[in-house]
Order: sequence, then C-alpha cells, then structure tokens
Amino acid sequence: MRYLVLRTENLTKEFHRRPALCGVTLEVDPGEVFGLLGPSGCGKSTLLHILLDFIRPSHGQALVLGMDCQRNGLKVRRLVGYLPQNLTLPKGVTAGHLLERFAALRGGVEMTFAHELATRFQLNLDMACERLSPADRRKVGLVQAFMHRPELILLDEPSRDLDTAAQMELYRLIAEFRAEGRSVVIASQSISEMERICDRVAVLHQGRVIAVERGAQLRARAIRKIEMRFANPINPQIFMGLNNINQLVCDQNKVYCTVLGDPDALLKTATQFRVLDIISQQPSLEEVYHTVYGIPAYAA
Amino acid sequence: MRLDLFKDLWLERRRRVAFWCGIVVGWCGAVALFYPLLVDEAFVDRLADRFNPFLESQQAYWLLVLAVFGLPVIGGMFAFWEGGKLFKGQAVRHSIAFLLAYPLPRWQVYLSRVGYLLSACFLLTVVGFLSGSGAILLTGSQLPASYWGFLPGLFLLIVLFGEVGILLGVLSQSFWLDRLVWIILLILLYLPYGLDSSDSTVRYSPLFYMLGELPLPGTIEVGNLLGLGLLCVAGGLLGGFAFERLELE
Repeated sequence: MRYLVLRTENLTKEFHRRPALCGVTLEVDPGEVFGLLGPSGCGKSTLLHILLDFIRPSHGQALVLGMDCQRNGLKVRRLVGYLPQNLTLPKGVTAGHLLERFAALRGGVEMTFAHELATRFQLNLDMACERLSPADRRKVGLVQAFMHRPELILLDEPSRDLDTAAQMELYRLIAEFRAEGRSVVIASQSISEMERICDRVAVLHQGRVIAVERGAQLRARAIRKIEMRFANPINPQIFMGLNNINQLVCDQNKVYCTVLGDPDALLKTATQFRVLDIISQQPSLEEVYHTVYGIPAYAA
Repeated sequence: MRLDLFKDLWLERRRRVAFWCGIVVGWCGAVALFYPLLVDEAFVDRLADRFNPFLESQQAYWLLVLAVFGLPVIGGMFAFWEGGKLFKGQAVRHSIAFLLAYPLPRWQVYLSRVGYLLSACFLLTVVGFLSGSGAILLTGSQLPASYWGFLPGLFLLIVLFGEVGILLGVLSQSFWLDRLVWIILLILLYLPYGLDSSDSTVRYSPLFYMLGELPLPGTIEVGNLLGLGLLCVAGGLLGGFAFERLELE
C-alpha cells in the first residue's frame, strides 16, 4: 500500500450548522509540496486546524504520517512543523529567547540550525518580540516551523508580510526540504506562489475541493493581463489570430489583452514591432475562479 | 503542569497582578481612614444592628470586617476577569492554538494557566491580609485571634470566582454575558448574607463559607472550608473538561 504523508477522507466540518469543509478528500505524497488555494473563508485554515487537532471534524477522517490526527495528536504534532496564519508572540522576550523556548517545548532541536535559518531570513534574534515588524514576526514563525526538520510542514499564508528577498529564501528552503524527501502543505491565496512552488494544488471553494491541479497545469491555465506599448500604432488584426488571447483592446500604440497559459506566441508576435514597454499582471483569485472554474466572482 | 509555561505566564502578566495588588493595598489604606468613624460606638452599634445583630462592636473588629469584606470583591473581580482573559479573545486563542501545535497535551496548557491563576490569587490574598493587618496595627489595635484563620476561606472564594471566569472564558466569547454573570455573583456575594429568619440567622452567601463562624472569634468552620474546597476542585475539573473540548478556530 502506498505510504502517504497526508490523507483525508470525506472530511467535513460544520460550525453552528454552517459547513466550513464539505467532504474533502486529499492525498499528499512524501517529498511533495502541496498547495491549498482559495479565498479567505474557503476552509484552508480549518483543514490545517483539523490536521493539528485544534478542532475535530464533524465527519470523515484525517491521517497524518500514517496516524489518526485525533487519536495520535501528540505524536503527529511532534513530527509536524506549523506556521499559523495569525501569529501572536509574547511580549518581554527577544526573538532568540522565544526560539529557545519553542525548542525546549519541542525537544531535540538543534539550535545551530535554528540560528542558521534566522541568518538566512536576516532575522535579528536580539530584538524584543514586541518591536519586531510583521515581516520579522513571520520569520520567527517560519524558523520555529522548520527548525526541528519535521517530516511534514504546514504553512498557513507563509509569504504574507514577507519582502521579496525573504520570500525567495522561503521558496529555496521549501525546495531543499522537498529534496530531502520532506513534505510541505501550503495554504495561500496567491496563485503565483502556488504556481511557483507547488507540485500539486487543491483549489477550494466554499469548503469543497473543486479541482486538484498539477503545478504545471496551473501554470498552463494561468491567466495574465498584459499591457504593451509600442513605438508606433499597431494593427490589432495581427493579434487576433492567436488562440489564447482574450479581451483584446488596441488603443493606437497600446495593446491590452488577457493571455490564457503560455504567453510565448503573443510575445513573438509583439517583438516583430518595436516594443517600448510591457506590463504583465496576475489576475485576482476571483477572476481566475470565474474564468477557469466558472464560479461567479462574487461567490469566490 | 509545565513550569516553563507557568513562568512565561507570570512574566507576561506580572504587571497586571502588581496593579491589582496595589488596589488591594489601597483599599486597606482607605479602610484605615474610616477608623475615626468606627470609634463612635453608637454609630457602630447602629450599623452592626442593621447588618447582623450577632456582630460585636469592637472598633478594630469592624475595621477587620471592612477590610475582609472588601477583599472578596477586589480579589474576586481580579480572578474573574483574569480567569476569563486566560482563555478568551482572538489573540489568546491564537496563542493557545500556537502552543498546542507543539507536542503538549491540552491538560498541561490548562494546568499551567490555572496554576498561574491560583498563585496570583494566593499572592493577592496574602497581600490583602498583610496590608489589612498593617492598617489595623497602625490604628493601635490588636489583631483579632481568628484574623489569619479567614485566609484559606477567602483564598478559596477568590479561586472559585476565578474558575467561574475560566469557564466563561472557555465557553463564551460574549463581553456582556461576563458582566452580567459578575453582577449576579456580586449580588450573591453580599445580599443574602445575614438575612434574618424567624428563629435564626440564615446565610446563603458565599461569604458565609469564607468566614465560617465569624460571630464566634477564634473558630473556623472546617466543614465550610471543605465544601468550598470541593467546589473549587469541581470548578477546576469542569473548566478542564470544557477546555479539552474547546475548538480553537
């Protein structure tokens, strides 16, 4: 039988008769980076909370590292690293002391590795927690999630508040852990982040998994809004033959359009002319839900 | 109980406890200011008759009664709010959830918090009694024989308020429900005390349990203390049971 790091079967959770998760069935393989994509309130954090036994499912079962996450909650939490979405740090201690406390709570943590992680994230461990910026607090959370080299890491909105350099470092760290055969589950609202680092992504909508896509599939189905400025006015007819272009608007020397998937053909066509500027924007999650999964924007 | 969690809580909340200790000391000082009024025996007799005919009118005794009767309210208020705040609020719930992401059983987290509350309540009670004795001694009176005998009852009563606060903190997020419960507790604390019935004085108030046989100086009713102690144990267990089932969203 295939060993799975994480397996949920028909997981359902209701809060005051309002469904937060509806029959979620997922499987995560060892060494896989798995994404949970969806807007706020779609059940991503609820799913992670069930895996850590903060809340109990109304129906269904969740196995983490082969163990029932309710019956073997302590064992599971010993082997799992977790970064919460909302991180509350105590006052009156430095980040370094706090990490030492966390290490003592967990046991078996190499503090040299924790310090190495802090250096990689450029986190000043001598600073008091109450003086840390939101980005630094997030870094403390990330260090404590990774410092015991867990088999499975659950990250809830990991790159929120982080600057670009710290985000890149996080992605490198995730890639290193994946190369060591460890698994990472990331809950995020950012499509670009999911495309970039996840092997597979579960797309959630109102507590249901509406699709599980491979990272490459997600990239192929990605929508980009593109704005190009040319040196001279352009005839829009030249772009009309491209089959993955939508909402094409030409305004003299400016062209606006949306590209579904690979933008290669568009760029090759555009470079026949002198391009002064090109801006590519990722659409909002609501737009992707609407365009790709046919879910009205307001419902996402 | 995890000593490190207990220590962290104390470090985090030490200023709050110090503030309430200050209030207790201030209360005892304010009570001492009433001393000249209490020297007036006729006034004291009139007041004592209204309150409870069994009470004696010794000035120092009245001073003690004032101080001791204020402490359950101040201590109880501290314990009630603090007990609630240990488990209530979004930030607190997040920090508890964060702790529980570590391999810690819930009962350890619960016991650490209850342990902090018990120690803070004990400190507040002792500070109250010390400053109460200071106020009495400053007026040139002697401490009554049973004075320190009230300490365990008062401590248990304050702890009981704290446990009610904990239960509300775990079960309810409502700001108004807290206040309503506190008002009801306050009324229960004082109002029925010393109610006269046809044949004897009937006491329903928790103060009765704390004070034991107060009208007979030098004796403490052990049965009352045991009853209060059992209530505290039951309250603690109930809070633990509720916390074990608490859903940390």
